[in-house]
Amino acid sequence: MGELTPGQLEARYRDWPPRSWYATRGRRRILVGVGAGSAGLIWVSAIVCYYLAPSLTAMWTTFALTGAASVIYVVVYSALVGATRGVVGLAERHLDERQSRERQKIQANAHRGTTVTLVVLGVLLLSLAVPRGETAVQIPAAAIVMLVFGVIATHVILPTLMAGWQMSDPPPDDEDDPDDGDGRDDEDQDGRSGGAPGRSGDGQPIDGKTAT
Amino acid sequence: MSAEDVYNRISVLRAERGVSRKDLAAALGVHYQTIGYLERGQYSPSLFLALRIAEYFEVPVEIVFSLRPFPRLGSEVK
Repeated sequence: MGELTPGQLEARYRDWPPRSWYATRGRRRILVGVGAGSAGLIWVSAIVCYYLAPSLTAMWTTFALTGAASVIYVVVYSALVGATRGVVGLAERHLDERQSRERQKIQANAHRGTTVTLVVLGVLLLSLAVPRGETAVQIPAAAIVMLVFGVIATHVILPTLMAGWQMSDPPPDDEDDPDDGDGRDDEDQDGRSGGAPGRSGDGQPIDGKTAT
Repeated sequence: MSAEDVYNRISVLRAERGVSRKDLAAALGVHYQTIGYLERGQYSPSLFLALRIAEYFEVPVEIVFSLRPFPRLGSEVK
């Protein structure tokens, strides 16, 4: 995605994907599951290549799975950019300190995830490469290519998925949201009422508990 | 209360002054959801942002933020 500004992001994600897709943590996690599934398709195509390549079946299966994975991921990515309001997708200079810190945390976790993936993959490949008795295992080039592609895809996708998984429900917007135009709270589609705590001006204390 | 809890009354000040979250966010140069996270106590601001919030409301920073819960209004009148 190119250089999106926060204003463009708000405008672009007002209509599609529908907020009901990511309004609640449960729905966001379903999205993340679908996104993880799209990365999984790449790994499946590597396995298909391992067993069937070189063959037309392997080639077309790989094309079909990769194509499906790309389409699914684009949709999931779009929804998660909207859900995270730019923590995923916006250039760093457009993020405020909370968003920036959130992104750093997500990237650190995703980095750990990629490390684990690489270690597991390395152990798997080593166990395949070590000859058992007289038999040496041959890995088709297509499978290695798809494996590398799978690792790269996982590395790229993981931060987005982590962001969607970890994100807590955003606070309700102001009731008089000027850019909404529909008279409803933006985040209300999950049935929560709008209105910030203490917003009514009734003098109630705000005891925002914050763990740093 | 854990050792790192920070309490704030941004929403009281905001309601008192009739400032919307979006207006406050625009004045501070942060995302409007960040104001919501601050008010809900799910995010502790940097010292810089805390000072800017206090400056915006023209009050000392300890009026806005505290390490102890703020007393309920009227609780000292009894």
